[in-house]
Amino acid sequence: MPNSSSTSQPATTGSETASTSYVNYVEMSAEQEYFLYELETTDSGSMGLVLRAIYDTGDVQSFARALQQRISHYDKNIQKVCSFHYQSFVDAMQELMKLKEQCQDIKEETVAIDAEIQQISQRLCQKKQEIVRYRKLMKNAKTAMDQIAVCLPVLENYAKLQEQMSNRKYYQALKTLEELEHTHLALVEKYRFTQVLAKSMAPVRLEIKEKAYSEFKDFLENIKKVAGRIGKHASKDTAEQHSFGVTDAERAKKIQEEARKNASNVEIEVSADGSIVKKNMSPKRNMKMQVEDDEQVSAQDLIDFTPVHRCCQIFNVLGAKEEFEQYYRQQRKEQCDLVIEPTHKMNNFKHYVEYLDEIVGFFVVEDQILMTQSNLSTTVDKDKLWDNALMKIRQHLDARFGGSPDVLMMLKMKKVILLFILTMKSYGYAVAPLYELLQNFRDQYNEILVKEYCAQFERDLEKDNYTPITVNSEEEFRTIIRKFPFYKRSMEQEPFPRRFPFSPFVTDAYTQAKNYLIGCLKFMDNLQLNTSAVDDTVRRCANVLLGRWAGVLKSFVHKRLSMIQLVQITINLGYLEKSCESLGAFITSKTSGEEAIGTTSHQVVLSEKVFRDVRSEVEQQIDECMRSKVDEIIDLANYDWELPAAAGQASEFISDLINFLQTTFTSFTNLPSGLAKHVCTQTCKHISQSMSDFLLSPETKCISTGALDQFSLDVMQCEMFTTRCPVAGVDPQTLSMTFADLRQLLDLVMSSDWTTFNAEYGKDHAKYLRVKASTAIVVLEKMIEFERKSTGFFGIAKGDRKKLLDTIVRQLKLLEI
Amino acid sequence: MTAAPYNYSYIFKYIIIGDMGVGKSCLLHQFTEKKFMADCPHTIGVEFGTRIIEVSGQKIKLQIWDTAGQERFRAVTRSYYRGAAGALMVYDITRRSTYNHLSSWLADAKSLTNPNTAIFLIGNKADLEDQRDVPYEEAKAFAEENGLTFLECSAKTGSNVEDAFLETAKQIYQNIQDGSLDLNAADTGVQPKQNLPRAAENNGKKDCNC
Repeated sequence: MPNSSSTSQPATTGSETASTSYVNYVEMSAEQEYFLYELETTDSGSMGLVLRAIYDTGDVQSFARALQQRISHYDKNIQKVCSFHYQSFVDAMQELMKLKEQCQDIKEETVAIDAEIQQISQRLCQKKQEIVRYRKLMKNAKTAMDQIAVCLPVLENYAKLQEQMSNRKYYQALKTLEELEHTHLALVEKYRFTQVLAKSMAPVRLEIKEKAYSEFKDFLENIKKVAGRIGKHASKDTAEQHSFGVTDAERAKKIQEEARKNASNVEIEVSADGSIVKKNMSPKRNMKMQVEDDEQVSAQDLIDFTPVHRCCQIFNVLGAKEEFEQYYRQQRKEQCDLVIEPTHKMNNFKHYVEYLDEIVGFFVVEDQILMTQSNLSTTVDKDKLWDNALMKIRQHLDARFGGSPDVLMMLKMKKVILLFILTMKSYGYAVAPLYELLQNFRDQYNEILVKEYCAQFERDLEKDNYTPITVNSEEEFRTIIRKFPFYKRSMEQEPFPRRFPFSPFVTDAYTQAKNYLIGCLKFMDNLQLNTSAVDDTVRRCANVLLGRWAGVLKSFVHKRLSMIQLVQITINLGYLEKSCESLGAFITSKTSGEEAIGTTSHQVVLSEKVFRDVRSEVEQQIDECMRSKVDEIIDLANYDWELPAAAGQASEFISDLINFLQTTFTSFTNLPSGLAKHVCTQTCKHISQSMSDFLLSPETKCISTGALDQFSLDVMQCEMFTTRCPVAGVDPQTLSMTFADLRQLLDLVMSSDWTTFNAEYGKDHAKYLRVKASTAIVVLEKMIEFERKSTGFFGIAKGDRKKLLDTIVRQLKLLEI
Repeated sequence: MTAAPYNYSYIFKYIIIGDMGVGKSCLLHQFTEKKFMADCPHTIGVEFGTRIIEVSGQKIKLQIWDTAGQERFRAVTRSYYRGAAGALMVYDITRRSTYNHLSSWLADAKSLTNPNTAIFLIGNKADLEDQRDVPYEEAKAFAEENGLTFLECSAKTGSNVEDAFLETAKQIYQNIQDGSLDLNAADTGVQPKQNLPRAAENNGKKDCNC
């Protein structure tokens, strides 16, 4: 196929060429022309194809002849050209011969010049070679210098690094290291010595890290040592701002004056004042010394904070910023835990002051770091640390003072804690829980105080002589008045000796009450309470004390006290009640002076009612005491119930009893009138009841008329007492009624007025209205019994009397129904 | 209580007299309660105490009146001398004035009590030897001179207190035994128990003036 297509295309082309170029050769066919054209123009690669085409036509001989003709044609052309140019050729040859001669001349001349130049240039060549060598040297030197110039910064920085490391300037060292690694070493990596340097620098970064940590630990140690001083200074600043020292000095002065006024028998106050005065003076002196020593001292001055800043920078460059932050917080937390945990030797006041100073110092430093490195610690972190610390501080203080019975220690601790609170508050820390703690301490303190003053009250009760105070001179009189300003003005005109109604117990109790109130006030100073709150609180404390005192008194009167003691207590109570108003005024003057005048109506009123119960109790005890005395005398009763005839006068025990009552009611001139009436009435009722019990007792089996007569005489004696009662203001009619029942019974039985009794029984206006039939029966049966015993000895007459009495008893029993 | 069976044979009545503050009430308290009353308030009017003792096998109930020593109560307490079988006159060995006033108290006692009343002199506060103001011998002589029995006591320590009350009772009982004290007389300060068995009762009645 390929042959077919080649054949067809060349055929067309050959035809065009033949007609244009070889018109003269008519004998050659177009095909043969084409073949010759192809051989002339094609390259050797296509030769085969053309020859194959020639053979395919089958006319090889024809083609060979055509080819031979073409060769001959070309040979003829060549001969013409050679003939044409022969003459020019000959001329040229002649010219060349001439030129040859001239060139020979130039050559010789040139060789001579060259020899001359060679000779002349001998030294120049030598110089040239020297120049070349020197140039090469200079080039090498320049190259060396350039390379060395690149290496020098590396060496310089390395030396610098070493120096900085030895000088402990780690941050600068780190920066140098960074520069070395990222800038200079990159340029000289191909040198062997730089590899050695790089290898030796690898641990430097690690070393810097370790050194930074080490320096930070030193920093922590340093602030630990100085924290106490920082805390102390911060507390001192706070104290000065709040006039803490001045207030205390002023208070100490007032307390001292108050103590002087209440000089006698004020053990608690004297001790408290003495200690407080000394304590208040000493801290002030110490504060002055501190001012001299630590003038202008602050956290900044005491602590070098640069280690913290450097550490932040170092770790930032090292790419370990978060690591350091965590480390910092962890370390501070651990340090905080250490600071908060008290040592075991917290056994005196000074240790607590130091403990709180350490805590203040710690948090002041933390606050400082927060302000200068806000990324290292945050407000949240700080508050978290404080909240945790606060809880533990509170626990520790509670554990140590929760049960403390020492009032003085609590007062001192209150001041210390308060100063701590104010100091922490000034640095922005939350202090509300500590105020709660202080208020709990206040309640505790007040409770302890109440217990102490109750114990003192009881001691005063025990050691009182229960005798009205007697003064023999104006001086003594004024002394008592100053202690207890309640007396009748008329006393001032009385001659000496003068008697106050109350016993020494009252003046002592009044003094103690005022001292207690002062004690309460001491703790409430600076507790962030306003004047009216303090006033109300103190008043409530006063009411608590009064209530407790009433309780103590109530218990006390249940002991076996004498009439004298009970009566004097009653009188004393009246004066204690009067003093309540005065105590109220005392509180006002102590808490707010003049300012509170307008608010009096809103104040908590001191409760004098607390003494009402105990007053009732005492009065009841007086009744009991009197009854007990009466019983003792009645116990001496020695009735002979079979007495044949009365002695004609009252029994001895009744005489003694009446005499005793007369003496007692006459002698107790200081018994309050109402109480005297009450006691007298109750006593008469008791005597009447006792006498009735004698008569009606089941153990008394028989009663003679003689015995009844004697008994009646005794009752009559009692009735006489009621009509001539020594107690002023008692209505004789009313008092006589106490024996009315007994009198009617006796009259009925002794006069045998049974007809009247039977006829009027149950009626409103009966003569023997107060006599019950059952009571009459009891007496009659005893009389019958006596008659029965007598029958054996006597005649019929007695028998008749017995029958009569039996009849009466039967009639009375009908009345009962 | 009022009907309790009598467990004593006699009631003897005593009165304690002397200056204010010599320790009369404390002596009574020590005797009846066997305790010392440290801070004793001044007696007002009279106080009263009882105790049963035994003398020669007989149980005797002592009824003791403790009187106020203050001058203002002197008139009121005089009514208690009558009917006292025994009088205990007390002074304070540490205060000479209380001893000096004994003559006055003795005069009252003799004029206001029965001739048979036993009077006993007591020097109290014997425990305060270092403050003694009245020599023992001087008081002893005074007692003998006036026919009184004498003892120094201490209400505080209880020393001789029991003895003082007992000795007085023994004297009274002795007077009963030898007949110098008439049980039938009024205001003798002695009350025999009257509820005796019938036979004894007859004896009693035989002696009765009725």
